[in-house]
Amino acid sequence: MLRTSKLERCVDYVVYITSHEQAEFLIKAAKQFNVVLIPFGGGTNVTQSLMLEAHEKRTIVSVDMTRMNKIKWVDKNNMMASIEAGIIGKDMEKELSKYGVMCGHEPDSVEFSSLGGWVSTRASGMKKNRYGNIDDIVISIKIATPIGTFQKTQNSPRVSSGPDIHEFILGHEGNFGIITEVIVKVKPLPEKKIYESILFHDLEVGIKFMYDGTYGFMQLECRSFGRLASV
Amino acid sequence: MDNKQFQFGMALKTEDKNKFHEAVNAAKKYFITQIMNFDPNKMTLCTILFEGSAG
Repeated sequence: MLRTSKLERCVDYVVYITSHEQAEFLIKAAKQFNVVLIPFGGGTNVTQSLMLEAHEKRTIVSVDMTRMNKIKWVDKNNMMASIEAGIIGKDMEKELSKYGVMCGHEPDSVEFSSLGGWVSTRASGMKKNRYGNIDDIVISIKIATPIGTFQKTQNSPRVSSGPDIHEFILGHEGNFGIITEVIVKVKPLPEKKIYESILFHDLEVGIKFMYDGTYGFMQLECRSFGRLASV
Repeated sequence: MDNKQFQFGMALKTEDKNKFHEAVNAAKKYFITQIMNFDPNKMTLCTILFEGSAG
């Protein structure tokens, strides 16, 4: 870049928002003045949704969500929590643990990626066999769009009626609007967490073990073996 | 994780805290590669997380 003295297309402004109303205002203004808005959470997107169009003539504004990082409420009766979408995964688990609960969504990027980002990218996590993917964890999404705000009113962890309109929002990659708030399912914090590792002579055996383990044929005896061989 | 990731993980390992740890890790390495006959260029690893009650 220094040698060719050519600067690639970069964002013109960065706006930090702190409330849903600001997101609504921003979208209204962007519509009026024909400005591109790109919601930015943790910036760990792997589908290049955050990459800028090289020949984009319109002004590009990056909407940084990281200041929307508060837990609004935790309902321990229904085991759900309302959380602002800009919160980073690790911070979220830390804050939730103060209430004695956890979310359990753990993508590789959990230290960097945000709740809104997970919803926008239909994320999956390492503990999904127990806690589910983000689509299983989400109860309600609040999203500001150019045609208004959408939020499904739901004050219980599950309803058995109607199609789920969230399917349109999950995986929208920031194309439809800005997610500002998400209600997620929470679980009680486990009393204990133990990490173990097991060595295998080759990949095939390891895969076979995990396959059998996932489908319930694994005997718990492997645990003591794991301790023996852990490095 | 597959062998490549395993080797990379080993490369990123932090330095041993003291001589005792160093000796323990050397013994582990000897046990795994020499006695259990794990091939360092083939071996893979599975991490398991147990979450539950303390009892």
